[in-house]
Amino acid sequence: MIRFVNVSKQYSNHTRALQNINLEIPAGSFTFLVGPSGSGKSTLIKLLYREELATEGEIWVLDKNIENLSKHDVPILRQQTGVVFQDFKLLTQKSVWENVAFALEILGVSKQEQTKRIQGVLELTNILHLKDFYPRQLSGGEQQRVSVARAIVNKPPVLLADEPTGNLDPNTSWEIMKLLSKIGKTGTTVIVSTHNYSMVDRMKRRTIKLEGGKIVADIPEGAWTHGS
Amino acid sequence: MAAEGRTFHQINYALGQGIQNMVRSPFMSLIVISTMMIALSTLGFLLLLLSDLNHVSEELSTQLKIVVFLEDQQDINKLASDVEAIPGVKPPVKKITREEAFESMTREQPELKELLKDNPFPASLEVAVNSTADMAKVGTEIRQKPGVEEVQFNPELAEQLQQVQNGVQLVGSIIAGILILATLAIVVNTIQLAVHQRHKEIEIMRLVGAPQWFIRLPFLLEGLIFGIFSSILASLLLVLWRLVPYSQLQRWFAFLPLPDSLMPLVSIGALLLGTGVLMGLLGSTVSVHRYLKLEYK
Repeated sequence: MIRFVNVSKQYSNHTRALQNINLEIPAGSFTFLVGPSGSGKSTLIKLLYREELATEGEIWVLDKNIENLSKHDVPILRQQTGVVFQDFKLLTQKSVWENVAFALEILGVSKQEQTKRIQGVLELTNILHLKDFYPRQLSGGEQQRVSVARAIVNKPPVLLADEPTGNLDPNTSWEIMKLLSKIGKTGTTVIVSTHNYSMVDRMKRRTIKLEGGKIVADIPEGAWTHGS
Repeated sequence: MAAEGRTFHQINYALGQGIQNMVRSPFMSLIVISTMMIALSTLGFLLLLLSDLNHVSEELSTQLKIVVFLEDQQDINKLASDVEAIPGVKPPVKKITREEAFESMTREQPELKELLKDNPFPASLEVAVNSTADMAKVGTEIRQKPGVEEVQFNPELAEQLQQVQNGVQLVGSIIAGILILATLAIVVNTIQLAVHQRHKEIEIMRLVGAPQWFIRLPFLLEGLIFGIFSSILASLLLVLWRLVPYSQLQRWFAFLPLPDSLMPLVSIGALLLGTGVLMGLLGSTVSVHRYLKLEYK
């Protein structure tokens, strides 16, 4: 379970990105974060993998207040939270297989185990046939699948996606959303930030709406309609 | 899998990444190695110059001798062994008997043989000292020995030579110190370029939860290899200098006792290797640290 308790975030340039956020996200659930640019979606996600520290409040992830994590424990948190970005963040000099393997190499997983797991996630993300390709040889949608595969290959309990379809056309976006939803059904807690409302409309999942750093709506699963 | 096995696997992978990085960006590796090589060989040349100058001035100072003229009928052997016992004297003391003195003078000027009926030349000793700084003290002490007629030496020249030697050492150490700092700055900045080229990789490593040592290790290995390669190349440059243009210099300046041996190169080479490795490791540590400090909050 993920819990925000009175969380505020103010950047050093006095921008108040988040104000007094209180939020509970149950384990194994799928949640959308929506809102216009600058509403605080990205900041909220960054707080969850300790890319940023909150100015005030507590953030509980996997039974730990991650605001109190030592520098040495930050990598451990990140091994348990897969992150997917708008710009994919793939290593251009590595093949699809190597990019995914990278997340396992840092954990010291044996080659045999790696092969088994990578094969599994590449099948799940439907890119096994692209395993020897390099990122520049792939379409945006394919690259995002690689990035998702890397994020989930070590079976993290939490998967965060920050505008994962921001660079993709509608059809590809839909494919990626279906993929994330499929991962959510395996028990992973999935949080997706997006301003792609048509996606949100179609999926009808729990949706948290941010504006000016505040939660202005928290719509339960099935209840979202455009304009809520 | 056992924890040790896992760690071994991680180290292995991180080191492999270091090698792969260098091979995949040969241009950057070339820039770093050649910059470090130039900086290290400049340092090497300075050290070699200092060592050579030291050798020359030491050689020159042993050529400065105290000449001791004996009173008539003195036992030259006894006085010679007395003088050898004085601290600071570099044995053996060279003995020139009256006959030898006559012999050498008349060889130089044969007409003297006819002019002179007796042998007017006194017996003498030529005394070398260990350090030119001791010359005045040793000279005074010899003068007080019984049977000594006269002592000749040039304390000013000895002193000047000593001053030059001290000056060279002082200026040399200052320049060497500045050079080491400058080299370090250059190396850190050059390696920073190599690190910056891979900042995206560092970012991704952080995001997928790589521990800090895992991120640092490939860069440390690279720094180590950069240091080893560049110092070996710099040392080779010094050897090459010593083998070709230097021999020519020796012929031109034959009147100077320039050292022949390649020996100083061994210690200078070892010093460059040590400096290079240290700088490589320090350079990559500082460069990666700058990134990690910014990134991990």
